[in-house]
Amino acid sequence: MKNAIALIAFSLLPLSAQDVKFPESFDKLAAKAKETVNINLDGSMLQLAGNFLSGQKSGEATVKQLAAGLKGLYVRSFEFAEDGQYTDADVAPIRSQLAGAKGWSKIVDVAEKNEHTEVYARSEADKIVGMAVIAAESRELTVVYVDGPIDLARLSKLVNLDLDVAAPAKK
Amino acid sequence: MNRLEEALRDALRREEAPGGFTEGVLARLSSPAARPAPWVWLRWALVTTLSLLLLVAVQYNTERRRRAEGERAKAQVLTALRITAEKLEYTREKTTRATSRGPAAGRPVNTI
Repeated sequence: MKNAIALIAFSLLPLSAQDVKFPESFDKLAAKAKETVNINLDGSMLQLAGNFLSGQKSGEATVKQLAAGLKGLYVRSFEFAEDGQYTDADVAPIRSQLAGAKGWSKIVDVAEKNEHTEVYARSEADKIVGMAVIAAESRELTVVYVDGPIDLARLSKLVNLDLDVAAPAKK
Repeated sequence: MNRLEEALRDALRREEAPGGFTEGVLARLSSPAARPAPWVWLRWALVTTLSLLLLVAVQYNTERRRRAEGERAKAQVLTALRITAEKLEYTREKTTRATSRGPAAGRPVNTI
């Protein structure tokens, strides 16, 4: 009974960067994946990164502006050599965290054959102050959690910019 | 009173320095024993130099690590935001494609 009350109380709390936790099953997925990206950047790391981002180069300047207001940035991405390396149950804990959290809402949900993409947003006073993306494809699973205000228009510019991005960790 | 004066006069009477006193003092001053050995200065110079070198090395290493950490954080921010942007763009394309097909096309598409 006490556990149930604690669980209900916990679910009513608004989520923060530390509360959105990647499930332990992701560690097993990393072992199966041919490529993984595992990024954990808290506020201090983002600030440090900001010091090394150029304000002159157009791509880096955009990233610098985007990162300036963020409190956390967390990414897990797995690319598999073949289909069926993960199940819906691997992603379910993330979904349940976001679905039950105060202030969060699912703003996009696109499901196609073997593909399911969801975008969640947390808003305060008509501003997006948090965002999560779950992109599940047949051979790729990506979960992004952004804590802090994010300028989507500015973010979309990054797709076409030539960023000097290091290749993901290869196994 | 006179005896006291006499005693004081005796005690404070000027006396000539013993013969060879000046030479003795000068010889003592110029003797190697009176001067600090050169290796003492050398030792201190060496200790100071090594301390400075150690300080510079520690500073350099700290700066190098901070820079490496910063560059790593920068690369991670670039990667993370690039992935986020790509996934959002991919989602936008899929949403556009799915909505253009219309709801009769099948799979659920919810956008707010």
